[in-house]
Amino acid sequence: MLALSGVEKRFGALAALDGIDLAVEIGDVLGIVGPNGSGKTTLLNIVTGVYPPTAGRVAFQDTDITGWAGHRIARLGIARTFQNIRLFPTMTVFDNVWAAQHGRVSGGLFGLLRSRPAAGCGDARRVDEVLEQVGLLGDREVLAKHLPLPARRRLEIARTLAVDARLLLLDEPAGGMTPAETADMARLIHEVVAPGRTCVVIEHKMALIAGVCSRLCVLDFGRKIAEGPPDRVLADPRVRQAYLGGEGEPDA
Amino acid sequence: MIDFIQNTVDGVMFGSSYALLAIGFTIVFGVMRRLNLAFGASIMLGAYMGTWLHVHYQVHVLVVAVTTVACTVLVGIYVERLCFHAVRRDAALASMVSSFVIWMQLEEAAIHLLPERTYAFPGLFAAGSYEAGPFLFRTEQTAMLLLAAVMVGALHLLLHRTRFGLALRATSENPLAAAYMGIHRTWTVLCAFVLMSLAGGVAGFAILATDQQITPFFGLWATFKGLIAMMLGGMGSLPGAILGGLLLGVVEAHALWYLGAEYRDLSAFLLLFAMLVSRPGGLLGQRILSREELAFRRV
Repeated sequence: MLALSGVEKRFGALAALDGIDLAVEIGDVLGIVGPNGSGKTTLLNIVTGVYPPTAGRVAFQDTDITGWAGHRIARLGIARTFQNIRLFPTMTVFDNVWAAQHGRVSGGLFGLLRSRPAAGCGDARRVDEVLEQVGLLGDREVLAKHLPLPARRRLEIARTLAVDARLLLLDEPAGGMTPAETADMARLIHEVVAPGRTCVVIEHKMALIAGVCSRLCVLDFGRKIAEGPPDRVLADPRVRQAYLGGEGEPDA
Repeated sequence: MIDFIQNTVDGVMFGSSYALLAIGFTIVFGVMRRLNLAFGASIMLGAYMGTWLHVHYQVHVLVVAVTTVACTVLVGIYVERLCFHAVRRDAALASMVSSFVIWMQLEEAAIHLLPERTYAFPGLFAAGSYEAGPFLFRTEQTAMLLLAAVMVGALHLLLHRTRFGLALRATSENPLAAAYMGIHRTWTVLCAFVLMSLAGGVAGFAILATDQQITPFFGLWATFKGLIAMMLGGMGSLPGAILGGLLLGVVEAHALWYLGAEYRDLSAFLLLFAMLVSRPGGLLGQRILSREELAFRRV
């Protein structure tokens, strides 16, 4: 579904990504793990068009999307969340999700001038359905900036669900969360987000990765050092060396 | 006391067009964090095209009104393409300076169009007035207030009740996130300029129809009044723009009455200075954000 071949990204002399080949198949829940600065978010930024790769190709469903602008990639069906949450702070929870549906709407000027959906109509029902799935229905008229952190991350996920994306990219969905909140997030991803969808999850909390991902890819200094089922990858001595510094448990 | 109330009412009426100018600035500032200094000059050039039709063909005042607004929008789009779309996104200062340069170009264009400095601008009504109790209302200023109120109402509905307004607000709150939801930034910015020019064109026509004359200096005047009103209310805030415009109008009206005509503009600058010192964010602008809010809003 998503295929990266020989993707390289240089910032000056620094090679953030150095020849990455990666394939995501339909139904995969691929975890990308690696120490800080190993190139995880850079990889996501290249797939979503924040910046183009220095070399290599990115293909989505056999379309070459290398160097496309972000909004065009979004309209192809790739949705993402952000490590540093990017909500619309002074809009309500409902409007945040409704805005996410924007890209799907065609119909030119007439479509643009359509009003906020009345409660109970198709669009509004879809938004409410998504809010219920992530457990935010009770907060639908709350301004996004008044939500606590875990709810903000859930709202970001709600936005990606609302667009019926074919590929979901989650950038540290449990970043900054307590172990209990992380467990809630793992449950949400496992039970609501992943079934019937294709996802890529960036995370370095093992509690989340282990419970959610069907496959892992480990990056270190911009290179892929291992790929495969979670238990095998995590037992790999090279991974333990790179990721754990050869000692102790990863932060959970 | 009657004088005071009369001045306040006059100030609110005239301030309503300052509010429209400020709304123009604030919409574009909200969407792209840029100041379009050529705003006043685009209104001036739009109004000159209307005046040109009036001078050469003696067209009806409504034709002048429509031409003024339509040409302001066209000039607005021209400015956006040249100074904002063509300039790199991270070069905030470059687009501000280039909009200043375009201002000069627009003034030149206006002078070529109509080479004498001052022209009569057709009024909407024969200058008239009516009395209500001890107070006197000028017809054209009442029309100005009504026009501004209709504009503000329409803009509010557009921004808060339509999908297009949602896209505009989303882009102004977080451009990157909006783009990754498929909202086309270039298109949204262009729409913001069209809205800015619409508000500006209507305000320009209302002011000129009241003054019944136009000079190339109108561009400078409109940019100043709009900027001051926006800064008073708080940059990027729509209610702030309205409040700032009305406040500016009222203070000017009092200064005009109690101190004399030469103090009208001076009072506006003093008011801005006092506001910037005491409350840099403006009346309804953002106060200093907490660290948590800063982290949340970082783009």
